[in-house]
This record gives sequence, C-alpha cells and structure tokens, in this order.
Amino acid sequence: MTTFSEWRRGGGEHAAPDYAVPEDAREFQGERAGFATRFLASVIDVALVALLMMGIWLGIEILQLIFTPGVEVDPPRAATLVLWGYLFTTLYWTVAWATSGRSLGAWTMGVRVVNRKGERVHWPIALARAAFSVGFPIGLAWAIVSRRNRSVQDVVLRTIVIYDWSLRAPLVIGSRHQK
Amino acid sequence: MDRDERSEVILVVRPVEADPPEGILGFIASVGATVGSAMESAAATAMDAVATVAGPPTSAVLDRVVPGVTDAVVERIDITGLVLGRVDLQAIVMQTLDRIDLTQLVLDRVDLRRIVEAALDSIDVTEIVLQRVDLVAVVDAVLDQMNLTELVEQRVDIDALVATVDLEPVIDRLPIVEIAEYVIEQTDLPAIIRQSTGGIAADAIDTVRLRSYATDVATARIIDRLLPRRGRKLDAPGDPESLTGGES
Repeated sequence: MTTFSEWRRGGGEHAAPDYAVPEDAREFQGERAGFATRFLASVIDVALVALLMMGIWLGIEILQLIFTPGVEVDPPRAATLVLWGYLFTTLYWTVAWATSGRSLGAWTMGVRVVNRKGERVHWPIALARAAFSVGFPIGLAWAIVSRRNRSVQDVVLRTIVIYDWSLRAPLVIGSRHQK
Repeated sequence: MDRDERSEVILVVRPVEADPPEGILGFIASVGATVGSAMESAAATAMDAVATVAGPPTSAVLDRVVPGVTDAVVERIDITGLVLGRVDLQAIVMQTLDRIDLTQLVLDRVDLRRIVEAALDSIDVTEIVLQRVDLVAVVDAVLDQMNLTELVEQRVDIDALVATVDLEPVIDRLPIVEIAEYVIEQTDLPAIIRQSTGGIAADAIDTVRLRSYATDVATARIIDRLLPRRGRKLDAPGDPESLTGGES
C-alpha cells in the first residue's frame, strides 16, 4: 500500500481524478474518441429523434381521431417526417453541443464535443456542426482513418470529440467564457 | 637579713611547648624564640654554676644581675637579623615540611567551609563560568554520553505532555483534503459506492462504454496496420471535465 507521503510525492496533490469514473476508464479520459463510440452515440441520438417523430405523428393521429372522428386524414408523407427529423436533430444537437457538449447519445457513450482549445463550442459552430452532421453523416467515417480520430466535420470546424465519462452536471451556458 | 627568709630563684630551662605558629613567618619567629630561649638558658646555666660555686649569697646577687644583663644584651642584638644571616632557614623549612603532613594539618586546623563560602561570596561564579567555560562543548560531551531518547522515555510522561498540546493549529497545518483524497483513492471508496448504489443501469452503461472504447482501439489498430504510419495521436487540448471538476 502506498503511504501518504509516497502518494503525495507521486503527484497526489494534482487534480484528483473523478472517482465516479471507474478505474479502468480513468486512463483514457480526455483522449480523442474513436469511430465506434461516436457512431453508436449518433445512432442513439437518431433513434431517439426517430422515436420522438413517430410519437409526434402518432399523437397527431390520435388527436385527430379524438376530435374529428370519421374524417379521413392524410398521413404525413415520409419525406415530410424525415425533413422534420433533420430539422429537429439539427436543433437538438446544436443545443446539446453548445450547452453541455453532449447529447443523450453522447452522454450514454461517454463522449463530449469541445473546440480546439478543449472548451465548450460556440453556438454558431455548434449549429454549423449539427447541420453538417445531419446533412453529411458519412463524414464521421473519416474518423476511422484519421490519425487524430477526426471526422470531416471536425476537420472543417476544428472541433474535437473526447472521451469524458464525467457524471458532473454540465456547465451553465456560457459560463466557460466568462473568465 | 635572716638567712631563712631569703628565697631562692631557680631558672629551669625547658623546650617551648606552645602550639607551632602557622606559616613560614611564624616558623621564623619560633626559631628566633628558640634561639633567644637558648641564650637565656645558657645564661641561666652560667648563673647556676656561679651559684653552685659561690653559694647562696652569690646566687642572690646573680638573681638580680643576670636578668638585667640578659635584657641589656638581648636589647642590643638584632636577633631577627642574626637569624636571617646565620641560620639556613630554607633547610629548616624544607625539613619541617618533610616532617609534617601539611594537607592533614590544613584539614584539621582550617575551616575550609568558611573559606570557600567567603570566596564564593566575593566572586560571581555564574559570570566566571559564562566567560571561561565552553558550555556548548560541555553540553555536547554530556549529550554524547547519554541516550537522551531513552532518558525521555523513562523519565517523561509523554502522554501527559501530549495531552497539553493544542491540536487545532496542528490540524490547521495538515492537508486534510489531500489526506481525504488519499484515503478515498487507497480504499477505492467510489468503487464501493458504485457497487452499493450504482445498480444494474450504471453497470450496463459502463460496460457498453468500455466495450465501445475497446472497439475504437481495435479498429484504430487494424487501420493503422494497413496504413503506413505509427499509431494515432489522441491527446486533446484542455482537460476533460472529469479532470478539472468542470469549473476551470
């Protein structure tokens, strides 16, 4: 067992790791996240949005059945739903990345989006990245070959996705820039 | 004058038995006295002889004459000078010193306590010690000879001593937070808490995250092997919030 003085000499006085993170995972916290994790995070987000859109569609159907029974309803076209899905995903990711840096999918997979200084991304960048990701999802595949695990979006907008399993509450919006 | 009424004076010479005077001067005086008494005794002997030959009347005359003559002679002689000039005082002193145990004499006759007390009264011992004694060397030598730790262990009630210590300033100096962090780290308290409260969901999420990380690493390794390069550079600027507490 390490004595207290040994522990202290060994750098124990530096920022202590987040003990909420399992010991196995502490080592790679802050590193650039790989393709598989980011892909899964995106899949979770897209699945959530898809579920939400279906819920909205079902809701509309049910409301119409309740309030105007017998009336034939034109089901919304798939293209419309996808378009709304795109818009919603863009909005959702913009807010998620500009505030906490992580969407629900990203939180589940333990990753976070930061800018090239390691700080929270600004709103315009978050919006651009969200739109870019929604419009060109295949761009993520570049992370497979990129030496720095960068997607096309990361290369263009100079953003970084890091492993961050922290359970801490996300920062208040913009507080990082009030220094 | 009737013959029966006359008294006869007989001088008897005998050694002086007075206490020997102290010191060399006293000794010299005693020598002088001895010489004087010897002369007196010689005169008395002569007078005795005259009295024996001439009979009692002559003796009575001598009784009157001799003391006066002797006094006159003694008054006219510088006995001290005579002794100093004629006597080997050094030899006498040396012989006397050889014969007597001066130390014992002093011990017997001198009130040493009074002398020492008087000496101590007249001098400032502290001042002299401070000026003349190398106290550091003395203390060093003493400390070298004794096992201070053992002495303290035997003689000092350490518990009682510690009981008087004001601990709060000591605690103020302790890095309590660091100690707490150390304990948390060494006991892996978070793991215990996770095990007791985290439940299945947290476990599942951790497992999924770890699996996907392993997949990332494996994928990267395969790709890196296919491409002509050495590994990936995955360090990112800044610190993740897990390391900074999310407030810096």
